[in-house]
Amino acid sequence: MNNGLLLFFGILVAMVSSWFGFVHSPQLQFGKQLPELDESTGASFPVPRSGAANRGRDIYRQNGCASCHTQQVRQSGFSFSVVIEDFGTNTVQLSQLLPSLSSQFTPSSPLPEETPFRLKEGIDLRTAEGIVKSLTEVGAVAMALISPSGADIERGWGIRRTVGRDYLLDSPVMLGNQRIGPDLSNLGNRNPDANWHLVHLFQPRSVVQDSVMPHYGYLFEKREITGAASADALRFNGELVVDDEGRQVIPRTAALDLVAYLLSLRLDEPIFEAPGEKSATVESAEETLVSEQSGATE
Amino acid sequence: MSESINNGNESGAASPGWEVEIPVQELDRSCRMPVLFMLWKAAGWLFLGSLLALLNSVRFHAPDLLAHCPWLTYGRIGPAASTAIVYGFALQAAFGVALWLTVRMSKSLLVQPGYIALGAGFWNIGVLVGVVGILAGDGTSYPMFESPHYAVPILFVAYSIIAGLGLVTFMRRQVKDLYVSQWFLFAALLWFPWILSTGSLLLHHFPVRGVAQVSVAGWYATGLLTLVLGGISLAVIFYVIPKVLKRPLHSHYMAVFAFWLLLFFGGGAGVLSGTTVPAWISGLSAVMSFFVCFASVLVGLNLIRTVGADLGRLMSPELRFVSVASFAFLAAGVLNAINAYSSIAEVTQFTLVLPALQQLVLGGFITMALFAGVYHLLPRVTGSQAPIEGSVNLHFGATVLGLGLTICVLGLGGLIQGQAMNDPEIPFTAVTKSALTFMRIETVGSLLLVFGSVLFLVNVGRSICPVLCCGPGGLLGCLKEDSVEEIESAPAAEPKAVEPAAPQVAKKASKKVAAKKKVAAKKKQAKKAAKK
Repeated sequence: MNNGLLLFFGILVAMVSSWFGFVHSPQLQFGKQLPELDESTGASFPVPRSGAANRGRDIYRQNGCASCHTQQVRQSGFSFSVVIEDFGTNTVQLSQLLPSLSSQFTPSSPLPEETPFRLKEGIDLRTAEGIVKSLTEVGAVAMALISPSGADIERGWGIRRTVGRDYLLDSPVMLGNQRIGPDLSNLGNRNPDANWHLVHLFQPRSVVQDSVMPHYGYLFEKREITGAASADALRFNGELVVDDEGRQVIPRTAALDLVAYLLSLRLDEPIFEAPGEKSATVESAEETLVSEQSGATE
Repeated sequence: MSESINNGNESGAASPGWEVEIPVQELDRSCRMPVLFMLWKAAGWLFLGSLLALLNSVRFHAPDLLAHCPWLTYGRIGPAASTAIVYGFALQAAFGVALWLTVRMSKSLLVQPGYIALGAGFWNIGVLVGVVGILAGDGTSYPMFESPHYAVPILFVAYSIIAGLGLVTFMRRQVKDLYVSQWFLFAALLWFPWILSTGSLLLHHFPVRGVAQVSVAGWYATGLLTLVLGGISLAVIFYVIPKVLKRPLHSHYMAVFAFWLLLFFGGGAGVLSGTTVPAWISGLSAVMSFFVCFASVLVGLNLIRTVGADLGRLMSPELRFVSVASFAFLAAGVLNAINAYSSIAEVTQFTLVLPALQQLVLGGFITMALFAGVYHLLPRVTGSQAPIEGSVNLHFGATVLGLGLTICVLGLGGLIQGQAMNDPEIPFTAVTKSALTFMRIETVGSLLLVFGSVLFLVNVGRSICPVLCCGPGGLLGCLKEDSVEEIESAPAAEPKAVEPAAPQVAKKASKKVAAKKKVAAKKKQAKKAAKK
């Protein structure tokens, strides 16, 4: 083969086609996508970040936080659950029906007092729809709820998987590809305590024993204590946090911005592309938080 | 075809059919200055990059090491190390080797070596600005494209000079038949400005929206690794093996087929299936990685057939590097295709398996192929002895051991980490702890790689030093031999302005054989003394 021109055009075709595939097409898909506006509440999704949080994203980028933390949540599938919203008036028939649906009930057991009542969890769609149908027939108001499943979701890293829309307002998008530390997609929801995050940035191992995160002491100003400690000084559980030399520690703007950004990371809103179940999972996320307070890396 | 490299033997014997045949020594000399400059700088960047990578590896033993300094924080050192290694070492060495290969295979003198050296100088400034920018906090966070936005135009200008003149050299080729290495070089040299300008414009200046950035950045990184660096590395492999074994490539058409496969499918986004991008992007990436795997197998088969029964001869220094590189290329193609399978990616994603695979491509395949190219061209371009074999072997041993250890340990650690991560019962601290042991062992590998990079620096330095500092035909001797002697004899002479006769004497001296040089200089001095 000695035709340099043919080679050149071959290369050109390859370059242009791969450009259209991986540069142009994604931009076609996302270039004109707008935040979703919920007309009933007036809220838009994704929620725009505050100024401090936007500056904080820059601190996050500068210090390469994305080399150890992802912001993307995977899900392996869905499961369904049945929730009874209202038992209706036909309680006799309902209490006859319930034992056949759930082992929690015997024919003699009374109806639960609180609604909504979660009747079944972790079932497939067809079963869930069947149960809902039979409940509706006896006059109860019931519905099948969809809940994403997977290890990430069970860890409380989000109520659903992340989708492209979640990052519409961010630039650069820092998905990350390493989980040396945990995923941060839902951090604002998992641990809403700003002070905890500041202490964690200053002395990671003082709050999370086995953390391998480096400290970010340069985001804090150390000042000698003269008289009373400053009102802005870092405190944890009511005690003043001091550095090795016993100086008080005052978070710089960068640290406050970074924490504002971290707290703005929330993955608790189901959206059209990725349905999820809001109320139930927020509870479980809070439970996770309580259990994580004792020992989890951030 | 394959004969086009085989007839370019060292003695520079004329091949029939072409009227103008430039002796090989002339060809080599034409690219001496820019190529040696690039290789020397590349070796320096490799050392610096390996050192930074070692620092980050040590941090898994002591997380707070040097953490008080924002410039040295973990998240900045990592990208700085990767920029130094990819842009400072790999791309620069690849350009140097590519220029020499272009000159050798085109049999035309390198066009404007002075400007190319200038371009290489700019390139180094660009890399330096990039690395310092990242350390100062201006990194972009896109993997493999971390240089701040202001460093990229410098790189682009520098590249345009280097590759533009390289392409002019290619256009002036005396050999019309194109060998497959030239195909790869040509594709690589055209692909790089394409991805660099796209990356700079669509990620820095007019950033695309949302996760379209992830696709563009992935497309950039895969193109850089597979087509630009990978292409030049394959060019080296296809050149060195037939050349050293003095036998033609087994199948030209197999190589060409693999070329087109890689060209059309190697530029995928390399996005794994669980990533938060539209599913079609990761799906397309997976399909493309399958074709790349097919191409890798084709290349591997072709090379094995070429080597054939000469397996024992692979012990020559550059062939050792080349065989490791070929093996790593094959392994990377296969493993990446397996990793693209969604049920595998479920475990490996977000774990140390990814850096292990990247190390296999960048370290095992690309770096080893470039080492082979450098060791092959050094004695030819410098016109002096090859680097001491023992030292080259030591470099080989340290690098292979370091790479092997790093890749195995990270890969294994990553698998364990991935299994643990997918079990929500295991708290996350325990997940990281399960991988920590492996990250700590990896430090030994990083240490070996630093040692290897020092040896490479020494080997390159030793070869270049005689050319740079002393000896006939030094760097300055790219001009003409007698002018070198003029320069050499100059220190012995009195200030020229006083002596109109001095240049003549020097010229006379230059015509004499080297042994008589000193006598001439003495005469000259004596004359001057007499005149005074």
